[in-house]
Amino acid sequence: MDLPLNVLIISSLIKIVVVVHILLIGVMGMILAERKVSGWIQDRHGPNRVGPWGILQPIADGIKFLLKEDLVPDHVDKPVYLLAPAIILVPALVTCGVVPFGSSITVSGYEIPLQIADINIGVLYILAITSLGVYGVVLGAWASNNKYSLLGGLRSSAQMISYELTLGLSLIGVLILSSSLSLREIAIQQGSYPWTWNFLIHFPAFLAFTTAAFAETNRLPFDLAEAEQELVGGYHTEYSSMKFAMYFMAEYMHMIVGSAVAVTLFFGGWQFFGLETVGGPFWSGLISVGIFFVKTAFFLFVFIWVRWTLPRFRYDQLMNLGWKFLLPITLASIVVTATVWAFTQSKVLVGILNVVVACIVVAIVSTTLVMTREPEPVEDRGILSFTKESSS
Amino acid sequence: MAEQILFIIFGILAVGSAICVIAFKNPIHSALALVLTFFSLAGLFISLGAYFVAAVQVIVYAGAIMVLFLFVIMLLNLGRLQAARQINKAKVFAVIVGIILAAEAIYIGIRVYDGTAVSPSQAGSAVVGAAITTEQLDQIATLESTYQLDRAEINSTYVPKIAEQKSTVETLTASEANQLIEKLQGEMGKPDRIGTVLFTKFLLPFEVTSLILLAALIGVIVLVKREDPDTAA
Amino acid sequence: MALQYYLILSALLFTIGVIGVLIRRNAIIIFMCIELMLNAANLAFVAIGRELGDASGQIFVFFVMTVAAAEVAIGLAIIVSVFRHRETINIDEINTMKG
Repeated sequence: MDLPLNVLIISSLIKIVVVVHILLIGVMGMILAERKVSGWIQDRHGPNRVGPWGILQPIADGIKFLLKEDLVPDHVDKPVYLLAPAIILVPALVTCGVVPFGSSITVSGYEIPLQIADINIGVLYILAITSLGVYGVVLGAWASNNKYSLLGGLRSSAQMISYELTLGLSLIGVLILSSSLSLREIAIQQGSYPWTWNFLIHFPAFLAFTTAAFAETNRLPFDLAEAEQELVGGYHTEYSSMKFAMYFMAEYMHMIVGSAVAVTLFFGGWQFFGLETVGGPFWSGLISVGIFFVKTAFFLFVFIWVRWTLPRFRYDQLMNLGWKFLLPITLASIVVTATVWAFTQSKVLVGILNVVVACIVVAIVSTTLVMTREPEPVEDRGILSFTKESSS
Repeated sequence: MAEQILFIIFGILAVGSAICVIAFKNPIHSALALVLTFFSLAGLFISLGAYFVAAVQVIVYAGAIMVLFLFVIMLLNLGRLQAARQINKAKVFAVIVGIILAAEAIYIGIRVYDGTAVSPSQAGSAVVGAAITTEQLDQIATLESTYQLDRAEINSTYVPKIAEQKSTVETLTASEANQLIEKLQGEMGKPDRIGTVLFTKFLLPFEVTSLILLAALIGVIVLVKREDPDTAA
Repeated sequence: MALQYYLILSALLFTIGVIGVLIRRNAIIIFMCIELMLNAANLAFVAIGRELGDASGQIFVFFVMTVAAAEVAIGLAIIVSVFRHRETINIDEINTMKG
């Protein structure tokens, strides 16, 4: 398994270059897919002017961004203003360093794992990098020196801190059962049959993870940080040209990487029954990459689907969802998983009890919320809410 | 070699950004410099083999604590409260005190450990080719009990990596046993090892920290709770 | 890499933290400098732990971080409530105990 140093370095470099490019091309694909799918959902055509069926639309968009005037307003805090769009891209790019995107490929006798780095703190690394995602938004917002930006940044940081907790806690159940932090190990342990994948064993945690991943990308229905109707453009109001495009790209990259992580942790990674043994040691590796991409693409479709289906949350709804529903559900899921696993070692029982307890938690929380509801809940939503004038 | 390079890069980054923390006028810039310091320290932890601590460092400090700082600075709009920079006697005195303190600390750092003390992992490396000593066996046994390792696991996974064809600890030579001990110690930063020690030897302190966090949680809620929303702000 | 280099780096960082506490008047910056000092101590813990082959050093860092997190939460809450009352966080102006 241990490769010679030169093979390791060369293969790693190739993998890094390929992964980064696939990510960038994926962003272009996502821009097109977003428009096409939204057109399909809203029963219209979507882009169809640039190239056949509009497939060159992302290139036209890119050229537009590049050629626009790169404006730096006078009132901004210049170093931070210029740094923020770069900072927001970094977490998305470096997270994919630990995600296994395939089994392994055998080239001239060397078995090369299809993963840039299989580190023993993989899940912790992802959590650490995810927690940095908030910096790009907050710094861009503050450096813009604009009240709409600042409000967007404050909302976003509060939202991301709240949902990061859920994101981290929802993975604990998975870690208890796999007793490993390595993403490759977690993916392999799930096996290749869909009914043995983690999303069935940890169904409530999986839902919580997906919701938190949505919140971390700042997309609808969690896009209060850039709510156009209230905050002009939110944290990227003052950004133009390529700097705006970097925020834009970062959103899509976060989606892609988030989907890839979800696939690895909950959907068995690159595995699918019957397809591991097809072809030789070279082709089975490529097929596993293809399976991984299909699974990730499904998640990305769900991202777009949700965006064009659900309206935006109100700020108090957002905080209620995060703190009063998702957090108790994940905590209950950890307790149930740990207890059942310690006594019975039965994954079926863990899966069933997780769902049952999550339902009980939701029932208790919603009953309590209904019972203690104030007669006039809309007035004071704290410092982060928009003013009364703009909401009426 | 790799560790030296990492130490130089991250050491310079850490000291430089730490100086920036106290030199920048704007609190936000200071906070960002502090984030960079924490990152450099995480890099140093990795070069020291403390992977778990490095990850927790980034999660807790860069991801939670500094975001909280930024949040408060932005919420209170403290950027506008920049005091005019003045050099007075107190500051000069403070810098002098600081330099004396640094000199003292560095002197102690050099003197306490001058490189001649024998670290446990190097003990008994005198004779090359000699059989494993009882001290080394004791050391391995201690490591096993601390990290709850299995002798069979060590025999099957670690021993062949050090000396091929050998499959038990007892057949190793003294120098190979040293390598084994070093390897076992070098992996103590792995999350499972840290977890084992945390939940056996340090179980009570671990539980006590949860009380600290609970106390902090209650304290914060009490401190920032507004009595009457109409009179505040 | 010998231990004393790590100890010297740790001492330097600690001293920078001390100087920061002494020369800055902004309560938030002073607070950041305290975090810096805690981190310098963490570095020394990990380096010595590695030298002695003992995981306790890293466990202590873990505890230090927990305490630091609690401390930051409380400290920032105090700063926020002080700011609400006095409209300043310059510690030279917050020198009376009277609210």
